[in-house]
Formats: sequence, structure tokens, C-alpha cells
Amino acid sequence: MTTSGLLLYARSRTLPRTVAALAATAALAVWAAHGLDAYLDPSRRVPVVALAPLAASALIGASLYSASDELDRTAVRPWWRRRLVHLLALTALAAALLPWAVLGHTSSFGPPAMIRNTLGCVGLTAASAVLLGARLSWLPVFAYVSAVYVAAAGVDGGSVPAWAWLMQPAGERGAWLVALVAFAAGTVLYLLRGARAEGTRD
Amino acid sequence: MPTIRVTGLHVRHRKTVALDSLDVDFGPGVHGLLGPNGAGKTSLIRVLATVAEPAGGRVEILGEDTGDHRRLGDVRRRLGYLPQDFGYYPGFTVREFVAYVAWLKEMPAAATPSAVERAVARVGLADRIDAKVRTLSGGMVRRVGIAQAIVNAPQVLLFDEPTAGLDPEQRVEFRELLRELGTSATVIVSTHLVEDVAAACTEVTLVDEGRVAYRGTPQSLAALGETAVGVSGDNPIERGYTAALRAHRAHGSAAQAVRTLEGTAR
Amino acid sequence: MTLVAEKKREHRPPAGVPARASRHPLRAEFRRGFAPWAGLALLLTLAVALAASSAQWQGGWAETRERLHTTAQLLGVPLALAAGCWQGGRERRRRTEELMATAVRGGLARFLAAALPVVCWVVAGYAVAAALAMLATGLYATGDRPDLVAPVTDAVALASGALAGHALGRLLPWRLTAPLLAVAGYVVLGVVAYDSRGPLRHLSPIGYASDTDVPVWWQPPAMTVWTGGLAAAVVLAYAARRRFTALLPLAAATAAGALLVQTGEGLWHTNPAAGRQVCDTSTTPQICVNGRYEELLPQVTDALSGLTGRLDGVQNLPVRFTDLPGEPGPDEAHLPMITPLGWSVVRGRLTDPQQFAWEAGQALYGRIECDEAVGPRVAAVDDAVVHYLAPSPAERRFDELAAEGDAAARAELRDRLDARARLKAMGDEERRAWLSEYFASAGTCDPSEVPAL
Repeated sequence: MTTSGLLLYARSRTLPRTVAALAATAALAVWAAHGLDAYLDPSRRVPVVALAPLAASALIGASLYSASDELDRTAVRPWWRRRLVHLLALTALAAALLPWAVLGHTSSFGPPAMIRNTLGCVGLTAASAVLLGARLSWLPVFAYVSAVYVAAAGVDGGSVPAWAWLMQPAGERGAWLVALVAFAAGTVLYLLRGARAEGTRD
Repeated sequence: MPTIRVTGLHVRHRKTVALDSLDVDFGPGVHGLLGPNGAGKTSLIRVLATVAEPAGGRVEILGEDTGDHRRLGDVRRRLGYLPQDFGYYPGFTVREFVAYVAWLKEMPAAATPSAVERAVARVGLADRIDAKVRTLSGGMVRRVGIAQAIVNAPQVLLFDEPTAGLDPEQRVEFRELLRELGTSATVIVSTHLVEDVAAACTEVTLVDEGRVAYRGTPQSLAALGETAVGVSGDNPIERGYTAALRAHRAHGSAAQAVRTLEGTAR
Repeated sequence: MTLVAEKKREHRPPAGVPARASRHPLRAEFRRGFAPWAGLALLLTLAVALAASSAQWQGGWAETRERLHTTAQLLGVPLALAAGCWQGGRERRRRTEELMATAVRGGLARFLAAALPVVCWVVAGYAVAAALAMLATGLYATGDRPDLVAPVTDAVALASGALAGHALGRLLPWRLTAPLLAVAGYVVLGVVAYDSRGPLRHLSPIGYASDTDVPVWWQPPAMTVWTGGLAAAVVLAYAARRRFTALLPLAAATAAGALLVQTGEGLWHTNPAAGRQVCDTSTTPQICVNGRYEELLPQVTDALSGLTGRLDGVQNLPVRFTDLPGEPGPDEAHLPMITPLGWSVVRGRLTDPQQFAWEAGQALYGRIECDEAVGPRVAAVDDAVVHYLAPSPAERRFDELAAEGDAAARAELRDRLDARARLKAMGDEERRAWLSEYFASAGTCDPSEVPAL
């Protein structure tokens, strides 16, 4: 039995379970991408490149929930450090695991696109955890990603607008910019404010 | 020399005013915080616990202004808090949960294990220290909450409804613990139970409609109950409580209420 | 004094306002909490997805139906599942499980009291999105008529998703159940839509999306029984006192599902409106547009008026431009493509009449199937005819590029410009005769048959 503070913190945020679920998501993504025959056309990977980061960000968002929010707020330790480590560690893990599903095709829908989408989705989830609470943080991101997924499929080729960053090949600089801004904004917001207090109400 | 000094405190919940230019001091000892539901007791405790930010006014705890965020750590290190809605991790053992709070309070790692055991023993859970919180009864969970609040030997202790869910025997033990803690620390206990106040508190503060309606010892409140006419209650403190509330509502300010009551008593 | 103060504090409801107590106790369930947010989330999701691609469906009723249907199923059903699931986990989050377990009302009533707000709000969100989409199309429609049955089947599928999700949320009250269920919903619906060959695809509520085909009349009710029956079976199996009653909707769902799978391709037939066309017979060639957007005919006739005016009196032309599914007849030419919407037609308007006319002129001669490219002489003749009838909007740009090109490109450009000038210089009668001769050879690959300019 250990009583090391950081380990207790990790357990209080169900991090072991989240890490296992992230690994399972990555395995599922590898399995799903395998059946897409992406060697014919890398854009067939778009569903995996959009949905796997979405699922990973939902897991990460849910792990931001604290059952003892009221007590946490009386802590002496500055929270931002723990929040930063928490968010970055899980994001890094997701960004390291998910690209294995889409090896190759680095300029279109390969590992770089997967990493970009993971960063962007985590940023959005962190921001919605601050605004809505961690347990429901998946909802706005789900609505957004799925709407973009369907909408961008129908948008005339050429210049896809900034909101469709998820669906663009990795070569697009604009999409990277939007994703990185989303990640940075979500992270900073979460570092400063933490997830919204929820109590036992919904 | 008061350990807690509150001046002109103003707290809002969305549109309603929870506390309205409240001035109050607390020194060492056990202070009972009484008042009807919605009077602002929890708001006051949460501001003192540095969990809620006031809309206006100044709060000094142990000589530090809690509005100064750089000094907040020093205040919190010497503060213990049991929230009304006390969230916990069901998968943690009692030892782990209390140790987690000790870690949040930045207690030295070397001192933590013994401090945890001491705090758990003080609430009478020594034999359940390695049991998961999920396996404990409601009263035991409450005592875990008390243990986490005292683990850092705080100089200021804030308990919001600590005796809810405790059986009579446990309540008696808890009052004893309160008296003990009150010898070295400033303890503020929000409660609905006048027995707790009568048995454990050195001073009573009655809050109503966001203002202080009465301050005095439990004995003076009981004396007020003895002399007041036409108030109901099963014991002198309850009658005193009702009389003080009624006077405050009739006159609208604490100062006036006290003056009028003194006049009545004479 | 005291008495006065106490009187002042009494709260009496003002006269004329009905007492709140008379309102139904479930009203709060509908108005507060998560349910309205779920409806709003669904509405916003559908609205964003539809608005972003509005050019491709607005103005066409079949396109509107398909886009609304696909969006509602692909996005709405997973979201409804997740929303229902989240609401289902509510009792655990609020720690009211114990309290609920002591209720006098039966399990089914309690289940529905908690589940129906989300169901209703999700359906309401969809209904608003559907109404907005139909309004958007109604403003620009050019023919055909709205389909009001498809939105009803979609609403049933969404309600079923929310109900089934609620039951799952009760069974697995874990905070990640809802998002994971939504991902699973996307994956399952996506895989079924992606692999559209197996016979089971007829069971997917997304079905077979097409602008020209419509389902047989009993497909929507059968789909409704299939999705609704499954959800009802899940709910009854979970919450009813007599669980075996779940077998009834399950049997109905199975029967409907079997019917759908058995019928297979027979579930779909061509939209009657898409199988007919309306024509303007006053022009040469005549101009026909598909019955689905018949009111576009004046615009099309107008866009082609320059072309048809110049072809007046010319022989050997196709009789008409047709706009029906499939290949045109032997003496017909295909009207330039109007569908899919979003390119040549957006919101009931031709986006570029000049381009449209040029494409129509291209359709009048066809050397695409020739084994080898026709020589530069024939290419110059074809170019001169197209330039005379309806020049491409990009013609000038191509000419400029050729002028900046190498010697061969410049020589070719010179030939083309000469041919254009010669055709223009002809007298009307002479040109009509020449064009008649030209169109007699419009499909040939033998350069010697194409008249010289």
C-alpha cells in the first residue's frame, strides 16, 4: 500500500482506468483502420482520424472530474501544476498511442493528422469541462466533431474553412494553427479555473 | 486578539444576496453558528474556508488577508474544513483519503503517516483505518470527513453541519473533541442542533438574512429565552434563539436587536 | 411591533396567478435539468451540419429529405443514444436510487417519467431542425413536393435511440458510458453505411440514400416498427413488471426486420417526379428539364436562348436536350447536369448561365469516344462552332495561355482564331447550311467527314 500523494491524486481522478481505456481506444482504432483499405485512398482514414481523437478526448475530459471538489479548493498546493501534468500526460499518451492506427501517408491522413486532431479535441474538451463540468465535457465536443464530420464531407473542395480543421490533410497549416490554438486555449482555461464544480447534482 | 476578522463581507449567489455587509470576529474557542435555513451560514463558512470568493468586504485569517492570493497558501496550511456536501472517493481507504488531504495541504511527507493515524484515532476509526470508504456507514463517513479536517492540526477549523448523520453517542464524543480542539484553535461549527451549541460552544453567533442577529455566550442566549415572552421552544436556548430572531427581524439590524433585547432583559 | 413584522414576511401568491401546485409534477422534469440541453445540442448539431452544406440540398425536396435523413441518423441517433444514456445514469449521480426504489409507482412509470423528457426534447430539437430545413428549401423549391413521412421515421429512430440509451445508462451508470455509446453508435452506423453491400444494410435506419429513388409506401412504417419495436423491447425488458411483455414488440420488430431484409432492393423505386420531364418545344433543339425541378425551365431556356437562337433553322441537330436518368435517345442530347445541387444550380438559380450554355453546346457534338485524338484541323473547327454558339467563360484565359506558350501552341491558337473569324464572317444562310453539314458529322471520328472552314 502506498500513500504517495501523486499516486493518490492519480487514483482520485481514475487515471489508471483512463489509461486502460485510452489503450483500448487505440486498439479499437488500429482494428477499425485496418479494415478501411487505406492504401487505396488515404482519405478513407478520415473516420478513424476524426473519431479516435474524439473518443480519447472524451476519456480525458471525464478524468478531469473530482468527487471532492470542495476540499480540493482548500488545497495549499497550486493546482495548475497538477492540472498541467494531468492533461499533458494523458494527451501525450493519446497522441503516442492513436497514430499507430494510421501509419504512413504523413502528408494527408497519417500520424501527424491524428496528433493534430487529438490536440484540438483535448483542448475543446478541457474548455467545455471548465464551462460545463468534467462529466458532461464530452457533449459539446461530440456535437461539434460530428457536425463538422458530416458538414465538411459536403463542402465544395478547394478551400475548406477553418472550422473543418479536423477533416483536413496534415499538410494544411491553417488546420494545425486552429488545433493548436484550441489546445492552448483549453489547457490554459483548465489550468486557471479547473473543471466546473458539479456536486451530486447533474 | 481575534484569529478571524470579517469586515463588510458581501456574498451573492447569482441574484440573491447571501451575506450583506457582515462584520464579525472570532477568537480561539468553539463558536456555534446558528440560523435558519438560507440565512447565510454556509456562505460564511465557505468564504472563511477560502473556497468561495466574496463580492465585497475583507476577511483576515490569522493575520493574513485572504484576498491576497500570494498569502492564501499560508492560510490554507493552517485551516481545516468539513464541507456540508462532502465528496469522497469510495475506492480509497480511510488512511489513503486522509493522507490525500494531508498531501493537498502540503504536510511534510515524513510527518504525514503518523498525523493520519492520530487524526483517524481521534474520530474513533482506528480499527477501520484500512477499510475502503465505500464500506463505511454514513456516520463513519462523516467521521472520516472530520479526520481529514484535523489532520494538519489546524489553527482554524470550519465544520459545516458536522453532526448530521452521527448517532447520539458519536455526537457526545464529537462535542468532547470540539471542546478539546477549542482549547488551542478557533473552531466554527455551523449547526441546527442547539444541544451541540449548549454542550460544546463557548460563543454563539446567530445569522439571519445575511447579517449577524445575535452574539453572546450560550448562557446569555438561554437567559434571553428565559425572559422573553410568548416564544416557543423546548429549552431555554431554543427559546432564546427564537426571541433573538424575532427581535432582529422586527428591527432590521443586529445592533438594534441587541440593544432592544438588553432593554427588555432589564 | 413583532406582529407587524411577521405579517410583512408572509408570502401570499398575487391574485390572478394560478397556484403552482396545480401544475403537473412532471412539468419540472421537462423544463429543468439536462433534457432541454439535449434537445438544443441535437438542434445545433443538425443545424450546423445542414447549414454548412446548404448549397447541396436547399431548393431540392429530394435532396433536403436525403440530407436531413442522413444527418439525423448519422449524427442524431448516436447523440440521442448518448443523451438518453446520460439521463439514465442520473439517479446514480444524484444518489436518488434508493429513494426511487421505494416509490409506489411501478418501474415502467418511473422509467418513462425520467426518460420521456429527453425523448421529447430530442424529437423537438429534430422537429425544429427539420422544419427549418423544409422552410429553407420551400423558399427556393423549383418543383417536386416535400416528403413528410421520412421526418416521422427519423423522429421515431431518434426517440428509440434515446429510450434504449436510457435503459443502458441505468444498467451501466458509469460516467463514460454515454460518450462511449455515442462513439459505438457512430462506428456501427458508419460501418453499415460504409459497407453497403450486405443484406443487413436494409435494417440500418440510414438505409439507401438517393435523390432519384424513393422507398415503397410501406418501408417507412416497417422501419418505424423495426426501430421502435427494438427500443420498446429494451425498455419493457428492463423496466416492466411483467418482463415477458417485451417479447411482443420484439416479435413485431423481428417481423418488420425480416420483411425489410427479404424485400431487399425491392424497397426502392424511382421517384415518379424524376421519371418525367417538362419541355419547351418552341426552341431548336427543344429544351426539357426533369420533373423534380420543373420550374427551372424558364431559367434554363433563358440561359440557352443565345445558343438556340443561333441554331434556329440548322438541320441535323438532336431533337431535344433531355434530362432523365439514363442515356439519352439516339436523336437526343443530355442537358448539362443540374444535379447534384451545389454546382450548376444553387438555391433554385443557375449559378453560371454562360458556363451552362457552353456545356450544352459541348453536348451537341461528341468525339470523346474516338480512339485517337482528332487532328488539329477538326479541333479548330469544333472550337469555332462552340465559340460561335456559346463560348466557354474560360476561353479567353486559355487563349492567353496559348499566346504565352511555345511556337506550336501559338500556331494552334492562330488556326483557332482564323477558324472562328471565318465562321463569323459567313452570311446567315451560308452559316446555317455549313452548320447543318457540320452537325451531320457531329459524332464521327473520321476527320475527312468534318466540313472544312
